[in-house]
Amino acid sequence: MTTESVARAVRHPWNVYLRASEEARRRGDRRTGTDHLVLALLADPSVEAALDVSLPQARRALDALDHEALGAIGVGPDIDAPALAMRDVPDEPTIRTVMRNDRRRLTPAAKRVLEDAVRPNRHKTQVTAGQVLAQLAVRRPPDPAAVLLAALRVNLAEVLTRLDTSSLER
Amino acid sequence: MDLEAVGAGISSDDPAVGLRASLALHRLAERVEANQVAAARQKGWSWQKIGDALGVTRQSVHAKYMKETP
Repeated sequence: MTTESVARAVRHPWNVYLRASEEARRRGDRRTGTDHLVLALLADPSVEAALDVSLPQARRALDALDHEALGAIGVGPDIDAPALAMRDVPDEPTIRTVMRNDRRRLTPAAKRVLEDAVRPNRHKTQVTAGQVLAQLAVRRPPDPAAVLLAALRVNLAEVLTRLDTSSLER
Repeated sequence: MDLEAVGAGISSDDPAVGLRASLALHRLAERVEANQVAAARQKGWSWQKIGDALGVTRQSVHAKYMKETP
């Protein structure tokens, strides 16, 4: 699987949002953040290959960051609760699917990432993983996606230079 | 849990760590609640009884958790 195929693979922005929302629900978050957008993209094996990180690895990294932060305020690592089960997300969600879904609202940063990723597209119902990654790449700590990618030692700017820029700008 | 250590940690100088810990506590609480509501439903508790235990209406607890089943 090449990184170029990641950039070309078109998906529905609502699919990215609903999948990210499921990741947020799974973790117990009330809002869908930029870190959940990273997890949503990693559900695609070609994105996993491009970033050289698996979805379970990214989930574990977020858990480790939480445990580290909790440890800093004196809450021990033995205090935990299992994550919730993921539910299926349709590849082509309809407005009815989205409205009936008990989705977690986007954080302002995550909303901006998705909106900016879709903006150059003629069809606002289409976005590529490369476009979303390009918007995530400009985020800086303490943005949750930037913190997660730093913990995973992923240099998104480097990954993006390997992507086909022409397909990013479609 | 060592409450004195929690208190000392909260006054830590690094807001990034402290704020992340705050969010992590929220996540933990949400997961505990979701898991316990599921367990209560499996034991036959009504939404009313769960709502009473959580201090909310049965409508709000039902609206929040009725779609939780995978």
